[in-house]
Amino acid sequence: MSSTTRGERWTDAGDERRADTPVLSLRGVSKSYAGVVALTGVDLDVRAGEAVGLLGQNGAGKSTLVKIISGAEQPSAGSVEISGERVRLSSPAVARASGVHTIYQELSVVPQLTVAENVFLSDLPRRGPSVDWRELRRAARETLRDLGFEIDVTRRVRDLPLAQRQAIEIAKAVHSEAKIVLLDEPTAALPQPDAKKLFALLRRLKSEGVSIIYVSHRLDEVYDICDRITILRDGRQIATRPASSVHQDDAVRLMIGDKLVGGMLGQAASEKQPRINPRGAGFTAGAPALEVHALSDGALLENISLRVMPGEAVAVTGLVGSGQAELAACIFGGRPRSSGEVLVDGKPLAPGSPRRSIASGLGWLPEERKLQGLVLSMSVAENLTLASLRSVGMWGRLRRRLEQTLAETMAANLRIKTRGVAQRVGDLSGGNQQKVVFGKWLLARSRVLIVSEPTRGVDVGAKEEIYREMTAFLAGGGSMLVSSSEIDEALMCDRIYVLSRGRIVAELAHDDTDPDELVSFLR
Amino acid sequence: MATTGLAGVGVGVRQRIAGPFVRQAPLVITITVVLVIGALLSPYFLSEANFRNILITGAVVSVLAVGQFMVIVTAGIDLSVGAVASFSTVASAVLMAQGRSAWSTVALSLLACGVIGLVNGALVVYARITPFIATLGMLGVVQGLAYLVQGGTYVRIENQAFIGLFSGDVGGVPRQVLIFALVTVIFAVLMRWSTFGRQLYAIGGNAEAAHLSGLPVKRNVVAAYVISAALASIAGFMLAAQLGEGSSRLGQGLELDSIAAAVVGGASLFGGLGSPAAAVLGGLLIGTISNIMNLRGVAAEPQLIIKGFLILFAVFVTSGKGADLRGSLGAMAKSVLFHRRPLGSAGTPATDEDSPAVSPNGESQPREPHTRTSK
Repeated sequence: MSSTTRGERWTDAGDERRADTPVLSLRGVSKSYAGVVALTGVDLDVRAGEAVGLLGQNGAGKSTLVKIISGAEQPSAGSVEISGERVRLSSPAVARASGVHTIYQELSVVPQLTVAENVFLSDLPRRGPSVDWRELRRAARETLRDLGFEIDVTRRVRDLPLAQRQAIEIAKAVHSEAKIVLLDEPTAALPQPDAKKLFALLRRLKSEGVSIIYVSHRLDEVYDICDRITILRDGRQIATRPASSVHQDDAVRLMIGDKLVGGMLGQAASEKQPRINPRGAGFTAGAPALEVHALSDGALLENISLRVMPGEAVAVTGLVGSGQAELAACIFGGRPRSSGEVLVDGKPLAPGSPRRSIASGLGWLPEERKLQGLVLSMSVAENLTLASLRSVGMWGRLRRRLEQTLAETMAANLRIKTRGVAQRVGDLSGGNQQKVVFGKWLLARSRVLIVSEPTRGVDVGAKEEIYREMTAFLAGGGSMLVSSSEIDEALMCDRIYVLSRGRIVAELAHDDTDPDELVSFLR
Repeated sequence: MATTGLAGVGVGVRQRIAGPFVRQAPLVITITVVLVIGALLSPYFLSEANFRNILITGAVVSVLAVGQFMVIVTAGIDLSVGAVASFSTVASAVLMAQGRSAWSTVALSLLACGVIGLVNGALVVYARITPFIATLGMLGVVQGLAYLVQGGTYVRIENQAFIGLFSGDVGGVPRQVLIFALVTVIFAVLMRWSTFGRQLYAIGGNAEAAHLSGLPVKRNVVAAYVISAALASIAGFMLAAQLGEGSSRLGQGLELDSIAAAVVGGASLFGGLGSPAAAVLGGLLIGTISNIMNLRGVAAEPQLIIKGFLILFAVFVTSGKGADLRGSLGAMAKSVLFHRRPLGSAGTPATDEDSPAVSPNGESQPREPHTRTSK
């Protein structure tokens, strides 16, 4: 294979390749975007036939590292070596030519083409000027059979289940004689039995000397397949150890950091996280403000039941991908549910209708605020009144002066930094955008707020201000469901539901939550 | 933030008054330039008769452009408006040939075209067919339908009441001009001063966020297509009255003129931007340029080429790469009008200490690594 000649060669390492030279090695790899450091000084060696797992929370730098290894991004500093030779993976094509094959969560198969065409997409066998279709089918069938898959290679890929599409991606990698296969969250949308099949396939690749880099939030999968694990946090490499020497609980602790939990682990039980709710404990009176009964979404969530009492702040937490994001959307109606019931103040909500949810007093601060919470082309004022147009309008007439007053008051109360409420919301910073979404629900007079990852992508100062607004909302009698994969955020709430793989595995009260215990449920 | 307190309020007020004009500045400036050029090129250009001519010719396209805008603002497109206008002329002519009165003809034709709009909307919203294809299909269906209904080459209109409704003068002003001015004002007000208009902007800007904010997205999108078809029907009445006939050919190609008008007026095909008045100005701008070329005796083919380039340039400036260019032109206009901030600082985020979530040119920046504070 002409691997290293196509990647630009910087130094010539000569021919003294020993058997233990890592297939891939990163030295001091760092990356920053416009001054924001995403990754600092990562050293990573991957040997032939070895599987290395990359673990980390959101924002830990995993995806940046994946992009660098796959050639999608260039490191700001540090070097990448493949089989002992320094290379510059200037594009995904160069990386592939150098033997690094990346399989993204969003697979890069062409759904309209047949299985055979996909496997040989980059070099279709030819006979004279035309494609040798017979040879193509034969070779594709053989490649897949070698991997243990019997797939009709004349079928179109769009008609195949996800697991088989993944197999095709892997067949592509095998066909192109990849030395390293990088998988980014391959099981995120994969049913359990198919995941098992994938693992069998990966083991087979390993035994044939192919190296695997496996990126996932799911600890047990990483432990299942990987020989070594590398844990990233805040853009730093926290640890790289043999998987057998790190207990899963310790891995979780390393992922979520000891700045917070480490400091609290072993603390006296009286020293708790500060509460976000100013109203103290004991929310037992009356009917629940929000109740979820046996909710399933037919994909990830299974039989979720929970309740939020009036005035209570309840957290739903778990490692990223455990289902808290989906749950928030399902409750609000932004995502269909297959069964179960949601009640606000005892009245059932129509599924899939945000409009009726809002009318019942529910509001949702979505995690993807730019995609789901805001109309970026509109002004701050127009976004603030978006969910309360009925009260700003009168017989369909928009009372613009009233809107202006409401928006200015809200912007002042929430301390939204703007040049004026006529400013385009897309020009605001993340924290101020989040405040606009918050203000939207305050204007809509929501009494129960679902808050998804409220401080993601928000800087430290704005984070405190958003917590303050949440506190003020609770002080005003509102109830809140906080969906978060940040453990410290969950620990601030009155009660915590812990999700794992779409199920509730624990319910903990603030006052007798031992962070250590909470962490033990995360996986 | 640089501007605070009273100074900030002052700018706000001034901006609120001058805002609409500043927003339309490029268009208004362009029209002025074109008028001056026209006056220089032809002594006849500035005459009353010529302006009458421009406005009457522009009336049909303007009404269509307003309807087209209502669809484009939702990030859709309506290719069927020309066919609907044709259908409207034919249906009206046939109904009156059967002896119906002018008013009942108008009502029935409007209703029929409204139903066509309803089908357009349903195809887009419920059948989930992309607007381009849904309305392209309907273009064919409606065109064919018009042909079948007329049952020949054209149908003459003898009803003088009908012709008097949609052509002729009122106090020296052509009726077509009154109608298109009325339509423009109604929809300009609707888009700016009604919750419906606001909802359409929100849907076009981000349908997902609009849905999650409880807006009736489906109903409103259907309504936009119904409005477009109804206005196409009115455009058809004007065509029929002007020519005294109904024919399946009268509206051919007008859909493209209406799209060009809206786009030249600054509407973005991605939705959420522009205004009906600007769409009309865009249409009039194209009409004026054609008029000048006619006066100078430019043949039809070179005219097509010039019009084509004009549309390309307009889209380049409004939603293409040239949007940055327009941004700096707008900033120049603002700094001239308000003596406020130096050039080049327009479009920078208001906050100094927070890191921007979106950089001014719209590229999203990577999420900053998580920073934890101990509380």
